[in-house]
Amino acid sequence: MSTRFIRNFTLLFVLSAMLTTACTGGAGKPESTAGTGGDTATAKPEATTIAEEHDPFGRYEEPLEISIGKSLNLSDKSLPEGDTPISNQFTRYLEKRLNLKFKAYWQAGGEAYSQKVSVATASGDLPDAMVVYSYSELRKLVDAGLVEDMTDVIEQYASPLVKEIYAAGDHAATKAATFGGRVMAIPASQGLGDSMYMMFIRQDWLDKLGLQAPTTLEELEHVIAEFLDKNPGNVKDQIGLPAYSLFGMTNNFPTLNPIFASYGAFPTNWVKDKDGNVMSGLIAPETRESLAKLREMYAAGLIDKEFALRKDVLEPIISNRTGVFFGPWWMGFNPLNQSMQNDPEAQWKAYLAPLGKDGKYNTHVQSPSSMFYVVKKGYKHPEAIMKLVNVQTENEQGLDPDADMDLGVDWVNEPLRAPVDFPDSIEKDAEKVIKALNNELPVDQLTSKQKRIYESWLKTKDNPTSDIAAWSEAFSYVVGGGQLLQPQLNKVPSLYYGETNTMVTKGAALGKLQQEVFNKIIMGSAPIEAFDQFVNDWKKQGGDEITAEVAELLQP
Amino acid sequence: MGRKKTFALDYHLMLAPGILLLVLFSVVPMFGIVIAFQQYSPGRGIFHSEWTGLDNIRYMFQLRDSGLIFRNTLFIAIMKIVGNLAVPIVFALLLNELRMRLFKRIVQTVVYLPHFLSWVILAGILTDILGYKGLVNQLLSVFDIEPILFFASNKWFPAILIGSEVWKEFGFNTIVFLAALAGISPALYEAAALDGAGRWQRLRHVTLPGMIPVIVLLATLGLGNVLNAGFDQVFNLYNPVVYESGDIIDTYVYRSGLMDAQYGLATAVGLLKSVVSFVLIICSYVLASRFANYRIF
Amino acid sequence: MMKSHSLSDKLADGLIALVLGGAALLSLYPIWYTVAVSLSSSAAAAGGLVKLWPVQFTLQAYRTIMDDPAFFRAFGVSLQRVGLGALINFVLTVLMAYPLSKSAAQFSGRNVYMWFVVFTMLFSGGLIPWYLTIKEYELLNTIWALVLPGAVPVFNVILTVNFFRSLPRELEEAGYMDGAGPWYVLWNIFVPLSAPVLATVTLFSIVGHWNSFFDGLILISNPEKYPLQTYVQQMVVRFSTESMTPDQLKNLGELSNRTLNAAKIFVTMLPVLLIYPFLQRFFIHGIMLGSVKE
Repeated sequence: MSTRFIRNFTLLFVLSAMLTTACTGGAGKPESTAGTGGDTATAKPEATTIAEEHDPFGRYEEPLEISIGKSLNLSDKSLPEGDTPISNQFTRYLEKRLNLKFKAYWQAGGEAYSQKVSVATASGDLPDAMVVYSYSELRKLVDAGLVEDMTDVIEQYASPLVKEIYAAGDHAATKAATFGGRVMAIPASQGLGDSMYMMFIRQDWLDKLGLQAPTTLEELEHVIAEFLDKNPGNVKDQIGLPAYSLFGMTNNFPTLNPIFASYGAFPTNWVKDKDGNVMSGLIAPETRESLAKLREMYAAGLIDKEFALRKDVLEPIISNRTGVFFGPWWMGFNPLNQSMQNDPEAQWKAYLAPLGKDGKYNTHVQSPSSMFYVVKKGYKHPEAIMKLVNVQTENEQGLDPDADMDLGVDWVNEPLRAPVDFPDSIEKDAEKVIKALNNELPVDQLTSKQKRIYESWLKTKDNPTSDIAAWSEAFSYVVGGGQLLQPQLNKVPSLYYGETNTMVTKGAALGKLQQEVFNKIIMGSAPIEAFDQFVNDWKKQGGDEITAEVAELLQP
Repeated sequence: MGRKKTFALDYHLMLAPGILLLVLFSVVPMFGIVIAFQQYSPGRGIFHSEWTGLDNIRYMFQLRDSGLIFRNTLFIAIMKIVGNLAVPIVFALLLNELRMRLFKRIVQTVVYLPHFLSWVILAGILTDILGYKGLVNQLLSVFDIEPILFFASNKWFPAILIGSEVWKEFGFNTIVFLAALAGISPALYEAAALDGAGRWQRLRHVTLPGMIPVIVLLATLGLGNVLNAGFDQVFNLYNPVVYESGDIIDTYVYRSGLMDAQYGLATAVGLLKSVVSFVLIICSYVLASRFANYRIF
Repeated sequence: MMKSHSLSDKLADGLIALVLGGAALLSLYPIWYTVAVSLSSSAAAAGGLVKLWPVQFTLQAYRTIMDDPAFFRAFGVSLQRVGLGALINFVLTVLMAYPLSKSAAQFSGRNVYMWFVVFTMLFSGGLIPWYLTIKEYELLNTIWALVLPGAVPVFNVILTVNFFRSLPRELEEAGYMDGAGPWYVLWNIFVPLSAPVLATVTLFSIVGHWNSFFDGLILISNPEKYPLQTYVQQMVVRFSTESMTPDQLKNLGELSNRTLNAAKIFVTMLPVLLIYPFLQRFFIHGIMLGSVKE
């Protein structure tokens, strides 16, 4: 206790001494944030560096040590002997470029990482910087007043590339990190493809029964019924459509989103009602229609009897007990790689089905950012984290010819890892690879990653189990990613992605109400009329308040 | 008389290290109990957060289905307390009657195993056995009974919770009673045998009375769990369809915490549980000493 | 004890053996299943194809464990923790149980101490204040953080108090007659006579220390210092894919490697399994030497 106090005290003393020189040096600089850490944040201690004040890649003259919360990948084996998650080619590269050094305040992987984040949030005991992997975690940190305002830092220090990426996503990433007009974190930016579910189906089963791949919901019902009835794969205990949850915004597959969407229902979204007012997709009449249909399908056995009850919902897919399911593009990575190992004859194909009445394949899309770089409130060098993101992003895009990166080392070993990438990154890779496969693009125009996928596909498409890891990636991009390029795909973004105050306080109760009613309707233990009662209850128990809050936030 | 006084010093000394550690690691963190009466904000800390009195407790009781949640919690918890006492007692007595030494040791070791598996693992096994096409339903089909979705049935779900908890823990809980049995003086059995007591009489007049103190003690301490229905288990086994019969205080607080960092609520609920346990334990202690002139601990 | 067994006695014996054997089978199943999974191919395990016997038998999982230095490092931490923790628990349990087993007439402070101890068992300040306290003591990321907060196992103390009280007074009196003090009486008369209960509470301590993973998760900041259960649990917990990053998702297959996890769970269980039969010999009648009449 005492030693730390003394250490802090000395640090404080040194810093305040430096501060005085900085203030004299950086006089005419616009000061935006009043009070606390904001001023010192943009101030540079060395008078000589005024010229490169806002250089996104400006190297620190003195080594700058940052304490970080380090997220680990527990199964990563890619680090060469002697390297560690906090000392490897990425940290050495950052040291070379920016003179940054890293110290792990704590490190943890998987579930343990989010535990660490929540303890840090609740106790206020934070590292200088860390990444949080959900909007809720960020909001809790902001509500608690524990993180630094990054508005000016991003404005002044973000590199042109990072700014270009944010702009490509219509600044939705920065909006996601904005609270009361201030950007409270450096947002990551992911490909949007993850949230778009498509239909994966056993082509070999279809062929055996002489069936075409279904395009409408009616055809899909017919195909599932035939699968169950004729059992073309000769599997024991075949089940209908599996579902982990009825619908989901991000990666909680398999879900039934596409069935809802075929009715024009988007229960995860904020939508416009017929009068143009904002409304939760949960209570839309289209959702009622979809539920009625799902209830009918469940009764007919077309949906897994135990869909709401399974503990490991991937199990039936891996054991090839189902011929159809809905999931995002990357299913090749998991679970289909395992499914192939259990049945090497399986031929999975992806389609955009069922189509809506308008003949389009409508799908919700997620918010482009659900990961955020946060900086502890009062940390003296918030711009260092922005510079880190600049350098890492440039490096991830392969733009520094001198970087000398071993591409075999997993990116999770970057000291702070949350990718900043274009929203259509997956589509871009898929498109190039497919063009090359069709001989429409010379192979030498592919990036190294695209070339790897291209070669993997040629090598494994006829014999997946010969190199299942290579097949996983290639199948995901070529078969799954390929569907993201189809013209009938129509992305329906939500009007709002954040969490309002009432959502936070009443969310648990409303979530319970909704899940209970929807599941009971489908499983037949409540009549479809229960939906109307649900709409009333939902509105009364906070839904109306939430809707009003969202409406107000959406006011231009 | 004089000797007693000198011993008192020894007694204090013997207690000192333990009491010191309890103060350091249990009492000091209790400053956190004040969070139960606050709108706690980590940024402001415990000393500067807003005071809200009993709002957090009130919130818990004002929920739409707080009645249901409390009823579920009480029912599941009490049944578990009963099962966790009765089954191990019976089991210990049966083991005690068993004459085959080796068999006895094997059984004893085997039944203690499930205690070491986490609910994540056991949940997978249980859903498999009780699944739509699981072992139990296959058995039922032999008797022409339609398959039952056990985990979607509000009738079956609490029974599954209680049954599986007892199944997991009975072997481990048996140990205490075995220790108590080992503590009964063999002289008493010899005396009973001389009196010509049969198996049943020995059980009634020697074994059971010898176990009463431990049984009473564990029953009393068990009261401390009337509001603990077992978060880990329920969390790993339930689903929205059985919220009606399976949602308990802890799972509810957990789900609220996912959205909202309700530190105040969580602490208030914890405090409520502690107070209820403490009151119940005091009551049983007082009752036992007044009416049976017996000190539980 | 008795020589002549009547027919009904034998029938009862058979019935008892049947009931106990049935219960043992029921209890054996989950472990049997875990072992079967650990010996199956990972794809078969992930597909839920394993029921009673291994499917596509392989020892791969155990080979992987043998090659995993992190597993053995965690094993070492756990051994250290159990050794240190159980020793501290034992000494404090015995030291506290003896004075607390006196009546209020013999030791006037007894009731105050007793209720204080019960109070600390039931009330807690919650996770965060607990974490902050241990951080203030500068114990984070050390073995002491895993051992000291639970140094006094209150339940064990109460159990031992209860047992001490059932020991005949005459033993103690005899000791005092010979001029022995309370320390001598405790260590040389009470402790040896209390083998069954002390074996029990020691078993509880060992099992408790061996099994706890949550404190490791919260209080240890470097996975290299994780005890075994924390190391194992961080992989076995059920992942909700919703909150995963694409990086993690692509590794989900490996993370949710059931075969490897099952093997880890089994190997992790082994030491405590071996300890129990060893401690069982303290649960045998006659420890009391039958020396005292009641």
